[in-house]
Amino acid sequence: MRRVVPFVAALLLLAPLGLTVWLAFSPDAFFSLPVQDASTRWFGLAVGDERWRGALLRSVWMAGLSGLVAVGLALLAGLSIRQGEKPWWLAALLLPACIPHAAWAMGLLAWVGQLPGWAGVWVLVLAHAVLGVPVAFLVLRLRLDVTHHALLATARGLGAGPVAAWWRVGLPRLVPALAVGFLLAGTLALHEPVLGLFLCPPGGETLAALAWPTLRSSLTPVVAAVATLTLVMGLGVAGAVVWLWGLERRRGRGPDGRVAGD
Amino acid sequence: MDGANLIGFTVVFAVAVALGVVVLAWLVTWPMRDWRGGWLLGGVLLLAAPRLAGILGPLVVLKRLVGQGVLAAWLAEVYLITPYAGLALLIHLQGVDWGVLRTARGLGASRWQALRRVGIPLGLPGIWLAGQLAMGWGLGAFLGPELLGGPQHRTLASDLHHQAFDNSRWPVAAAEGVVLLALASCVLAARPPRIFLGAKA
Repeated sequence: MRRVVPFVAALLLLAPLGLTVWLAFSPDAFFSLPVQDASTRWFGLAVGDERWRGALLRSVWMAGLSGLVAVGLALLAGLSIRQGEKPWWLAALLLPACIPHAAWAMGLLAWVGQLPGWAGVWVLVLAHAVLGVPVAFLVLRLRLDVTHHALLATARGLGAGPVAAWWRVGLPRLVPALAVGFLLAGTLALHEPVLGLFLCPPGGETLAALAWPTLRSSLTPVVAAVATLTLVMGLGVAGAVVWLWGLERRRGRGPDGRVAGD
Repeated sequence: MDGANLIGFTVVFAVAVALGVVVLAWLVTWPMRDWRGGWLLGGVLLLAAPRLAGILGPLVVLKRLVGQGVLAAWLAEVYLITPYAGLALLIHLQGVDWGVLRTARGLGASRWQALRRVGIPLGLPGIWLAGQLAMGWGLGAFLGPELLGGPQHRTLASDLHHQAFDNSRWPVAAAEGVVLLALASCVLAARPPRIFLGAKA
């Protein structure tokens, strides 16, 4: 019983993802066991169709860009907010993680209409970036600890200038956290459907915006196939996070800043 | 649907979602309370899986398996929100010294008694935080009610989309957005009752 309940709960979280892959490989439009004749025709449709391919590529580069912006903002915020200081700033930084996305999108929609058409894509990138900041910031905060400031102070004390101390001592120690923050913020942006639905300019749809009519009416497994492709990207990101974490430990420190084994 | 009904349904739906999320998040995070290092990372990734692996596919799956209705909409929202609330709960559980649980067992408490009298009380601040987050997100429920609910299951967020895009009634949509933000702000600003502030261990 003790082992079964959490196992079932974890299964509940993973089952829909597994079923998505199943549906993507099913030969007809229903759940049928793909063991006998798995079909890749939905993938063919997804990759062959110019609109789906375009939306996939657009979603990926927009997500990457908003991940970069999010991590940049999080770094600036992390450097200026020290532990235990200015709780209001901290609350403001974490607020985007709590507000309803529909309200956020509605607010942006009002002034996206005033901008020229091409600006829509960039507003979307920035809007996703704002949602990614809390995640990137929380990851980064694990490394911007007492040790970080002590190391910088030591480097300065040993004669390094402020730029050299930051470049040779501060930044290298932050790189894994920056990378993990970028991956997480970017992945969240890749899979965030509501903003795209509200803000995508015509002809510049993201995956979610393009999938929306299909999701509401016909429900062909093309969406499952596209979702499987993004799921593989998500798995890749998870793998990268694990690898970066392991790299840290092999260098003798966990990402929590403690020496391995303590 | 008139305004009062809309707000009423949104709030009731959000409460139901928050309850579901807290139970599921507790079940998943409780075994992870004393995980460290790689195990903890794996647990976090498992918890975040619905968000990291994308949600369009699961929505298709739910619509096909459960059909359309308020149950499917509820399931979808619980699934979407659990990662965020679960992570908040996990951060709290990781900060508690669980040696007291062993002590309680050593002093003769049964497994169930230790959980009920020690484990859950110590987890209450995290449960409150997770519930608060889930409630805030549940108020903004959009994808579940919109894709999987019937026409009578509109929440503020999904009605907002209809007013803006189908009816072109922008002022109404904006007003709904403001009500939504106000409700979410009230939930996030709420202070926990004394019982949720943490038991004396």
